[in-house]
Amino acid sequence: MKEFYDVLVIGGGPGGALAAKTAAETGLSVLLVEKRPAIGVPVRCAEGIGKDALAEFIEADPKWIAASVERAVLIGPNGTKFTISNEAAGGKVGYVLDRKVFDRELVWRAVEAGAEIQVHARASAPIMIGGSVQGAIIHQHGKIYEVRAKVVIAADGVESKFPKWAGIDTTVPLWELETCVQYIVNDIDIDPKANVFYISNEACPWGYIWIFPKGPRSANIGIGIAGTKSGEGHRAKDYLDRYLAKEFPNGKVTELIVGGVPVCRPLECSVADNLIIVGDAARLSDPITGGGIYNAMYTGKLAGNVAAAAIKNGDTSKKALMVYDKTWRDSHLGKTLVRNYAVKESFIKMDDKKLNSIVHSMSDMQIEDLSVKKLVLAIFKENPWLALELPHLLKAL
Amino acid sequence: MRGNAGISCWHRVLGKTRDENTNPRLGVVASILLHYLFQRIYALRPPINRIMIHIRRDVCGYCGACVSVCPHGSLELIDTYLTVDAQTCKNKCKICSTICPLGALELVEK
Ligand SMILES: Cc1cc2nc3c(=O)[nH]c(=O)nc-3n(C[C@H](O)[C@H](O)[C@H](O)COP(=O)(O)OP(=O)(O)OC[C@H]3O[C@@H](n4cnc5c(N)ncnc54)[C@H](O)[C@@H]3O)c2cc1C
Ligand code: SF4
Ligand code: SF4
Repeated sequence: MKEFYDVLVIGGGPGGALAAKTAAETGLSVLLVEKRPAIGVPVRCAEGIGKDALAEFIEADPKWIAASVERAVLIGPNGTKFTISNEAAGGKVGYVLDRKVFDRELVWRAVEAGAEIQVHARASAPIMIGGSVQGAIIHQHGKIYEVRAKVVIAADGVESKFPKWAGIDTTVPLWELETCVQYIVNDIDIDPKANVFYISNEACPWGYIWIFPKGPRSANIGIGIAGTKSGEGHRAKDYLDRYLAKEFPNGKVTELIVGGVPVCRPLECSVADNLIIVGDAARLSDPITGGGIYNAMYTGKLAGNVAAAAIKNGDTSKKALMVYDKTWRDSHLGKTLVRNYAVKESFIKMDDKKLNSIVHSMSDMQIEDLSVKKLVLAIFKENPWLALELPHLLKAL
Repeated sequence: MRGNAGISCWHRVLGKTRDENTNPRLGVVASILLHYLFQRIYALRPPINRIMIHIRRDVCGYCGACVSVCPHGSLELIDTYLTVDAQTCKNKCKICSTICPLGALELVEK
């Protein structure tokens, strides 16, 4: 570890890996620190990603693809199904990844691009001068290092603390953190080509249960519920155990995964002097699906490019870095986040009777593509009472 | 009940003054005032010694969900080891123990 780098990246998830790789490719000196001893483990993810979305960053490799998915199935509280097949999605849909291998591959690519990686190396505080970030204190193997950098990229995920230490409040409101438990369940009968989403306010309040195939007879089966719905005796694990006992009583659980997914609005501002915040740390996961791999990679790459340009121009002030914040907000990603937040706010609190009616109306629908906007408009058409209940949603679309 | 016990306790301490005083009520008033003063000071004490966050290490899955919702930044996940800063934790807020997907956080009286 040196005392000075152009760019210091904190966190070795997809956001940090893409930031480090992108910055290193421009010829900058880059250090990425990851506090865990191994990249990508323990996993905290259901590992689903769209094929198109993935292709923007990396060519699909069987090494880290567990399953190729051709359809998404939405199941309402009373069991009514609505299927979106790959024809409707242009023959694509998605993959279920093996993130242990995927995350490591992304970090290896950053190394190949010239970035230095230090594992089991934790940022414990920012170095601040005159109120602006100048680097970080790094703890590794019992030693403490002061590492300075022109730009620090905080990619420290859901448990992000670095921006907080630098004065940016990243606290997620309790009701806007989905608290999640997932098992890898083996030896079960599933549709190995379908990602299944089950919604029900009784079985998974203000969240959903997912079944994402990992192989012909195994799947990630998990649940996310709103933080305010969690408590003693009715935690995410309690709900999931009940669901498994009912639906897959003979399934064999071979892995336990826990985590939190922020479904709040993104940070009000994702930059400060010499600091850029990416991925989950900036609260950029999708408020409806909870998906954040793509968003982390997108903002990681953007941050790498913006940092490189700012360093080249000799100005890494907040003003100079604002182009990062503006670019992602104006992009399809930023717009989707705003719209999906409005959709989430509207649907999350609905009781099972209303959810049934919506899924029921969807089951007869002919949907040509997967866009949320078209889907929601079609739902409105079939359920005119929604327009009275959610007038603001129509505006947001 | 506790309040009264407190007052009579101060009354006892000040008992001597009362006996020697020409106005016996003064001692009572002084003891009541002192009692409330100490009550106020007691309320200002850092609450760390009364209720503590107890981390059940055998239950925690080191996911960081609790870290992201703590309004005081009191929790930190050091690899797989969750820590709580008793100085900044405002204790009874309980947000962390509510969110935990596994139920690894308990509030215990010390
Ligand atoms: C149960 C669950 C299911 C999910 N399912 C999906 C899904 O199907 N599809 C999808 O797209 N997304 C999903 N997500 C979300 C997805 O996992 C995240 O959005 C994604 O991992 C965010 O990437 P990131 O790089 O921002 O952060 P992370 O992947 O969380 O990486 C952050 C890294 O920073 C490290 N770190 C933190 N603090 C420090 C520090 N101080 N010093 C050094 N290192 C530090 C951490 O150890 C970690 O490795 C799911 C999440 C959960 C919890
Ligand atoms: S939320 Fe629970 S399981 Fe996750 S780190 Fe906190 S205490 Fe551990
Ligand atoms: S009780 Fe509240 S302040 Fe204390 S650690 Fe938990 S969430 Fe943070």
